[in-house]
Formats: sequence, structure tokens, C-alpha cells
Amino acid sequence: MPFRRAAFLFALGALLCPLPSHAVDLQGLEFTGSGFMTLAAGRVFGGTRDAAVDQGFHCPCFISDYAQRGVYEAGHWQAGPDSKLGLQGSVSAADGRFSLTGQAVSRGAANGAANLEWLYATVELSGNLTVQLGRKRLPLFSYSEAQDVGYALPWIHLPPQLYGWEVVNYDGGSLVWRDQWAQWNGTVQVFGGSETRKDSGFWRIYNGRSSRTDVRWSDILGTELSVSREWFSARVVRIQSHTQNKLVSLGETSFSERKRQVIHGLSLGADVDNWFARGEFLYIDRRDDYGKDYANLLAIGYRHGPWQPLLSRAIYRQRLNNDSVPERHGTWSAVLRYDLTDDSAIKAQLDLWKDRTAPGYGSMHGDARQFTVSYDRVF
Amino acid sequence: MRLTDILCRLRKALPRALAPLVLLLAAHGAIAEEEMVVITNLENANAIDRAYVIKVYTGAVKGWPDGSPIFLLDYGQDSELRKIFYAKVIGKSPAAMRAIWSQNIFTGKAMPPRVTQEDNEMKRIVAGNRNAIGYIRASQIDRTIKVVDR
Repeated sequence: MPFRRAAFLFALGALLCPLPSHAVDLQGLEFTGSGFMTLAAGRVFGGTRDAAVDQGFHCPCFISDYAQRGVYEAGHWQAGPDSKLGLQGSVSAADGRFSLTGQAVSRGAANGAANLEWLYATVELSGNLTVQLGRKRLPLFSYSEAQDVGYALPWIHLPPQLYGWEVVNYDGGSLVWRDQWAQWNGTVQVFGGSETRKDSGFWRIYNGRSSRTDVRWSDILGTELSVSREWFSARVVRIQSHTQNKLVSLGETSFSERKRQVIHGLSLGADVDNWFARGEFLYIDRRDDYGKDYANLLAIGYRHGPWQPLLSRAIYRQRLNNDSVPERHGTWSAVLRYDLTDDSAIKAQLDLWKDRTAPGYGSMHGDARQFTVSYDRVF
Repeated sequence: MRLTDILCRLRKALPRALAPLVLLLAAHGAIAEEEMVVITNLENANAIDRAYVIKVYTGAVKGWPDGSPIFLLDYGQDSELRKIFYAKVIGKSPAAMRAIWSQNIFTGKAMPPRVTQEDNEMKRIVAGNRNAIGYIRASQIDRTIKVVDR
């Protein structure tokens, strides 16, 4: 049944694809519809077994998306982990100052099941100040909010060492101030809310394929500052919250004790002529729970007409409160993108995941060599 | 029918068959040669330069320098005017602009611009909305709108 549902949703996407995004005016309100899709297929063609995550997964395996439990397993081509279809609808007032937007995403990683990723009201209080209330993506990293929109990304799957956390949405509100200082564009965002994620994909990877873990982030309070000028951009984010887990498949009926976490992120970008480079650095303070997490990403790419090659390196490291480093791994990724039309692209991505888990802790993920191809489209 | 007859008929038929294509290419060439100008409402006192226009059309700026919100107008995706404006004024390919607006639209950063069909409709909307910004061919300038960048 899930496969039939997935097939139906992707067929619907294929039917909608030829249509451009469109708008309809009705009694002073404008209705707009748009969407995006990624059809991807990939295969693990080498690596190691006996990893800690090998609990129901057929390893060697490559984790392409922790939050959505996107895992490529050994032995066969798979289309599920990175394929998705997103549909978005908006209604806005004639003067553009108020709008309501909803976005649902059907994922191959969830056998086609659709989730409401965004549902929010926007009020433009002035040309500089915007308020949004509802369900949104958590701006953990530079590409977090666009993570589902393959066409907008240079990768097929973002480097999982950085883009791999248990919670990616929140229910709440944000206040955004945009301004200009001399040649600089600046944006300051303050946001807050909470999120309860039932049956976390992230924890299925760590606790076992047939496990079920619910996660709660409460008292989320974040600040994001972005600045840019000509060829340079930078972004700093700080998010604090309390975290709780509940391992439902082990019979737990209540959430664990609240633990405080503070997330710090820095992103840098440079676009010089045809060259572009990105750097992202993450530090999560979870000393109230187990320790600290570090992750970083460096990428360099080149635009040549419709072609866009990219090389990136991402590393993750966890340091426990007793100073040991049980989990450490990194991925080299090489991507080649080709823009087919103004709204579609094909990509090929090669990933080499190397596990450097400390001796004595076993192998956390194992090594994996992964090849993926995709077709991305927005409509 | 002999081969020479076939070739003879083709030689006569080809110019007729290609005529619409030639006219289309000529029209495209004529549009491509025209200067594009950025227009605002007559009552809008904000002065903006090319760099500001680029920020507006890439979604980086949503307000006028005086703080009022911008009402952004554009042409449909297949419009030749749009392709030429992106190339000559914004300095980006349609694909690059599509990628930028995909990020804006699907991540809650901006609503898509209101789409109009041709210059006259663009001028009519700009003339009737103090916060509107759009662009037209230079040959279509009249007294109902103000040119802020050319």
C-alpha cells in the first residue's frame, strides 16, 4: 500500500511538472500554487559492515538524511531515500502585506507519506519588518530551510555530518528585520517555539530500524544574523532549547528529564566570478546531557554555463563530558550538476564516508561509498 | 515523382514554411535590442540605483528606502522581456534567478512577484500603486509612470 501511495504522489508530481507555478486572483486575494520534486536513485557500492547503526539496516549503508531516515543500503539501487515531492499553496492579500502559506512534502524515505512541513501566516509590518506565525523549518544551518528543494541546492543530499539532526521544524513565531548599512544587506531574525517529533527518523538510525523514539524540543529561542555584500555573505545563529526523548518501542510512556542545549553556527559564503565557496561551522553545547558536538563543512564549486561541479568535505565529531570522542566521521562529496532548463536540473554525486570512531567504541557508522543521480524540478 | 521535382517543390515550399519562424526571430531580435527601464509610481519619491534594483529583484530587499513595502511586479516565465531584463539589468541567467526565487518562495523568505502579461498592464499597475516597481521597454515610456533606472 505505501508503494502505491508513493507511486500515486510521484505520478501526480509528474503530471503537475509541465505546469508553471500559477496565480489566480479572486476578490482581491491572490492564490498561488507551486512545487518541487526530486527523483533520485542511488547505490552503495562499497564499505564496511558491523556498524552500530547496522540494526535492521543492511550495511554497508549510507545515511543521506538523518532527520527523514534516508538510508541507502547495500546490494541494490534505491529510489526512496532522496526522492520527494513538495506542493505549496499560498493566499495573499492584494497589497501583499498578509499571506498564508502551506507546504506538504511526500518522501520516498517515508514510502510516500506526506507531512506538513510549513504552515504559516506572514504579516509585512513594513518594508523592513516581517512577522511569521505557524509551523516552519528551524534555521539550524545555511541550507536548512531549503533542504527539501533539490533544485535550489548544489548537492543531491546535503552533507549529513552537518545537516543531520533529530528536529528540523518548529511551531512558533519569528520576527525578521531587514536593513541596509552602506554596501551591506543585513537580516536579523528572532524566533521561538517548540517541536514534538513522533517516531523520529534520526533515532530510528541510532536505536534500530524497528524502534520508535519520540523527541521534544521545548523553549526554543533563537537569533540569526545574516549579512551580505557583493561577493561575500556571512551568517551567525544561536539557538537554545530543552531536549527530551521517549523510547516508545521500549515501553517508555513519559519523556525523559529536560536537558538544556545551545547551538552555535557560523556560515560563510563567497561568490567570485564563476567560483563559489561555502564554509559552515557548528558547535552544540549539550554538556547538560552528554557533551559537545562539532561539525563543519567546506565546499568549492564552479559555474560554467549549465555545468556546475562541486567538491565538499564535511566532518562530525562528538566529545563526551569525560573527554572521550566516541563518534567521528567525515564525507568527501563530488557533485556534477547540469541545468536542463530554467527550472530543471540533473545531478550526479559521489560520496566517500569514512568512519573514524575511536577504538573501544566499535564502529558507529562504518565506511560507505555511495553513488547517486537525480532529476530536480520546480514548478 | 522524380527527385528533381521533389527538390523543386521543397525549394518553393520552404520559404513559406519558414516565414513565421523568420518573423519570430526578427521580433525577438528587435526586443533584444531594446533598452529596458525600471519604473515606479509618480508619487514614489524614493531614489534607487541599479544595485538596489538587483537586490529587489533577487528578493534580498523587500522595502523602499523610506521603509514602505515594495510591491514587486514581473512578467511570466516565458516572457522575452523577462529574459532580457534578467540578462541586461540583473546580470543573471533565468536558471540562476529561478534557483534564487525557489529558495525565497519555498523557505518563507518572500512571496513571488505579481505576474503581468505585457508592458501596458505593467504600467497600469505601477501607475495605480504607490509602492509598485516594474520594468518595461524604453519605447513604452509615457507620463503615467516614472523611470528610476535605465
